[in-house]
Amino acid sequence: MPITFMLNDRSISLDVEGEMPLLWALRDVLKLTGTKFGCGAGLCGACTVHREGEAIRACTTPMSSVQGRRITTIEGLGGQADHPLQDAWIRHNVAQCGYCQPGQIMAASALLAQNPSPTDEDIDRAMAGNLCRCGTYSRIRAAIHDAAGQLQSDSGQTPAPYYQSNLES
Amino acid sequence: MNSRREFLKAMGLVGGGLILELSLSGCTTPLPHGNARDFEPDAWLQITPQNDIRFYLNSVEMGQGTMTGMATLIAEELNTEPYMIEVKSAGVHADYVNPFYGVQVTGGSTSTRIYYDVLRRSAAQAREMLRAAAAAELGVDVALLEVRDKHIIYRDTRLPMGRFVQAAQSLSRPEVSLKSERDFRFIGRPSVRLDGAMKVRGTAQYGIDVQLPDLFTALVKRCPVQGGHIESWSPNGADELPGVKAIVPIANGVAVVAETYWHAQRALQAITVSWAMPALSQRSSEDIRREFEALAASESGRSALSVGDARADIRAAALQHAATYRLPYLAHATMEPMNCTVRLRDDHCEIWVPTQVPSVCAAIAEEVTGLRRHQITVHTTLLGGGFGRRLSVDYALEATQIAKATGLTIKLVFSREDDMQHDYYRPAAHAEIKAGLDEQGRITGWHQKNVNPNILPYAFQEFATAVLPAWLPDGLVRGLANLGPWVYGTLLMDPASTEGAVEFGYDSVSAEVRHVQADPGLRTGYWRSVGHSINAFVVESFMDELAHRAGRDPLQFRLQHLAGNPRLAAVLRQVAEVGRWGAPMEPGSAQGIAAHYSFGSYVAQLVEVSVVEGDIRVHRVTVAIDCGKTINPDIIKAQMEGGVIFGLTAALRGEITLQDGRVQQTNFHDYPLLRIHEAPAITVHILSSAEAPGGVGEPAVPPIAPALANALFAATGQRLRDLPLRLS
Ligand code: FES
Ligand code: FES
Repeated sequence: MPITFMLNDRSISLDVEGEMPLLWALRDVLKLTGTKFGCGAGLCGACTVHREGEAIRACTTPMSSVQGRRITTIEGLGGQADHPLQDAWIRHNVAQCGYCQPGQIMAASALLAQNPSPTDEDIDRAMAGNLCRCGTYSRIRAAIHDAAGQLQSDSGQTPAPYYQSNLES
Repeated sequence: MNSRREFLKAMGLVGGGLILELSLSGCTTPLPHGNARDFEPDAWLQITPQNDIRFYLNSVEMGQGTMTGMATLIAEELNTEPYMIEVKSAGVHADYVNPFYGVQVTGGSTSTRIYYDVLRRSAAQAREMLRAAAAAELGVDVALLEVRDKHIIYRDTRLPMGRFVQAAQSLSRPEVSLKSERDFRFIGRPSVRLDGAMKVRGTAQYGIDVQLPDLFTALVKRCPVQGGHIESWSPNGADELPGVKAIVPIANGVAVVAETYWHAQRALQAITVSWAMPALSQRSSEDIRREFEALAASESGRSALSVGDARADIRAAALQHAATYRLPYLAHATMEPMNCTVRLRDDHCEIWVPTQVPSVCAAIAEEVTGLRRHQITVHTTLLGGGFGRRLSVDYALEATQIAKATGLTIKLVFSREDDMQHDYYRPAAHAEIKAGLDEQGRITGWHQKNVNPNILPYAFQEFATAVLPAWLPDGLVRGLANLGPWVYGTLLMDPASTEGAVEFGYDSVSAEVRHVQADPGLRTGYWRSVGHSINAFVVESFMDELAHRAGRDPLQFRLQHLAGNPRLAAVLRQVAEVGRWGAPMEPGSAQGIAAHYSFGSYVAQLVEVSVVEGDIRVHRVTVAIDCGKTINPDIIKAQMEGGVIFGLTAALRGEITLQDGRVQQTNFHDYPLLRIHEAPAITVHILSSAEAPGGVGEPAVPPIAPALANALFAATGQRLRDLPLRLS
C-alpha cells in the first residue's frame, strides 16, 4: 500500500516499505538530496526535517509514521524565496564545507517557529543535537539571533553583512 | 582527434572565447627537460563572448574557502566583483596530468600560498589582452580604457568584455604588472562566500548527492580488523531480499549493490563472512602503548634534527627536566561519509568523487579497469569535509572494483560505522622529551624522541601509481608502490612524524629530535595539521613545564627564548594583550597559552578554562595569527574558529582505541564531537603583514591542546600529559 503524505506542500504517494527510513525515501527514491546522511542513528542532526513543523531526524523516522503527515525539507523551507535564516546564514558566512547546514537550518527554523527570540541557552538546547565538524557553532548562534531580530523588526531591509561590524583586525 | 579540444569539452568549457591555460604548479613555461608539448595546464580562465567569466580549477572546495579565495585573486586583477566569476571544478583528465608535476592534490594548506601570484598574473594578462583588443577595435589609446565589473569602460561608454574576446584570442600573452596593493578592491577585504547560498539552500552537490540514470547504491562488509581477507562467505539469503541487484566479493570484503542505501544496508546484515585475520588482531591499545614505551627505551631511532650536543648540554645543565607525552590514534569523521560513484563502459570510466586527490583516483581506476589514462574522467564534487581523510583513495579503489565486478553504475557509500572503523588514522604517539636550564633559566639543551607509525608507507602505496611516470610498465609501477612501506618504514625519515618538532622555534644552545618507527599495522593518514598536531602538544606543554621549573611566567619564558623568532613572539604578545593574559580570574578558572608555527603561519592561542566538579569547561579562546598577506580576512577568521573547535574536540574527547585489532568506536556516541553548548567564544586577531601568504586551514589546530592543558595545570595543579585530557 502506498504511503501518502504532504511533502513541501505537495501531496506525494510512495510505494515503499513502511520500515524504510524517511531519509532514504527522500534521498534515494525522491532524489531530494538536500537532506543529508551523517550517522544514520539520530546522533548528528544532518538529516533534520520538519514533521508538522517540528524538527525530527529523518534517519530514524520510518515511512509508516509519515502517512498523512506534513513533511518539510530544506528544499521547501522558504517557499519561493530564502527563509530569513538562510539569508542570515549567507550574510554570516556560516557554511564551511556546508554538509551539516541544511540540518542546522531545519533545526533552527523549528526553534524560531516556537520561540521567536531565543536566548543563547535556548539555542544551545535546540541545536545541541546538530553536529558540525567544521566548527561553525559561534556563527550559527549569531545567525540565529540575527534572523530572529529580522523576523521581529520585519523592516523589510536587508542588513549589512555582519563582518562589516564584527571583524577584528 | 584533437584531445585538447575534447578535454575542454569534457570539462564543460563550452562557449569558446578567451581561454587562458594556467599551470598552478607555479611553472608557466615548458619544463626544461621536456618540449613545448609538455606544458600541461591544470586550470583555465575562460571569458566567453556572452560575457561570462568562468574559472575552472582543480583545487577542491572542502570548506576551507578555496573557491572564494581563488575567485578573489582573479577578481582583483580583472577588477570585477568576485561573485561575477563562476568557479567550477575542472576535474582531471588523465591525459593532462603530467607525472613530473607530481600529484594533483589539495592539502597542506597550500592552495592560496601557491596560487597567489600565478592566478593574479593570468587574470592580469587576460585584462591587458582585452584592453588591447578593445583599443584596436575602438581606435583609441589603450591608456584611456578601464576594465571594471565585466566591462571595458571608455569615457561614458560601458562595453561588455565578451565583445572583445574573439579579437583578444589572437594576441599573445603579454608581460604585465600586477595591481598595486594600494588599489586593491577585494584582496584583504571580507566578502560573502561564493559557495554560501547553495550550501544553505540544499542545492550544493556533494559526492553523496550524485544522481545518474540507473544508479545503484553499494555498501561493503569489510573485515573488522584492517588488513584481513575473506576466507569464505555466504549471502545467507541476502540475494533474495527486495531491492538487491548484486552481491560480489571484492579485495576488501563483500559488496552489496541495491536500489537504495537502506536496501543495501539490510542485505549486508544478512551476509556472513569468515575472515583470515591479520597480525593486528593480536593487539589492543594497551599492548601498543607498552610496545611504544619499550621501543623508546631500547631504540635510539633516526635523527631528524641535530644541532650541537644536546645530551651533553642537558647533563651539564644546572637544572634538568624530563617528561613523557602520549597521544591516541584519531579518526577524521568528516560529516559526509566516504563515497564514490563509478560508471564503467567498455572504453570509458567516469568517476564522481569528493576527493583531495583526483589524479590518484584516476590512476587507481586505470589499474583496476585496465583502461588507459585517456579513457578515464574524474569529476570532483564538493567535499563534505576533508581534513586529510580524502587524501586517501580506498573509496575509489573499492568503487571501481565493484563497478567492474557487477557491470552496474554504482555509488559506494560508507556507513558512519564503516567510516569510523576504516579510516586512515592520525598516528598514536609516545614522545619523551628532556631539557636542561642554566642558572638564568635559559634552555641549554633540548632532546625529543618520538615513537610512532609513519604515514608515508601508506600514502606512498596509493600515490605511487599517480606519481610515477605513465610510461613505466604497470607491473613495475605496482612493484615500486609496494616497496613504499619498506623504503619509508626502514630507510627514510617521514617528515610527517617530526614536523613541528624539527622546526624547533626556541633559542637553545643545542637541540636534537629523533624518531623511532613503530607500526602496529593500523593504517595511518594525514589528519588536519598532521605531525604538528602531535608535536605542538609535546613542545608547547613542555615549554610550560620548563617555565614553571624555572619559576617564570609561561609567556615571559617563551618570549625570553624567541630572540631568533620575531613573528612567533609577535603573535604571542598580541594574544596576551587582547586576551588579557595575567588578568585576575574567578576562583577555579585559569588561563593557558601556547603558540606554534605551521604551514607558513604563526598562531598563538590563549584559553580560559574552569573546572566545575571535575568537569572541564572552556569559556573563551583568543587567537592571534600572522599568515602573511591576507586575501579574505573573514575566511581566515572562520578557519581559526573551525580549527579551534576541531583541536578542542581532539583534546577533550578524541580517542580511537583497539580491542584485538578492531577499532572500538563506531559512531558519534562513542567518538563524540564538540557540540554547540560546549563551544567556547572565539575571538580572532589577524596581524597585518607584508610576508608571503601562509596557510590557514590547519595552523589553528596544533596550539589548542597544549594551551588547554596548560590552563588546566594553572587551574588544578595537574599536569596532563596524555590526550585526550582527563582530570584525575
Ligand atoms: S543522519 Fe540522522 S541524525 Fe545523523
Ligand atoms: S560546515 Fe562542515 S560540518 Fe558543518
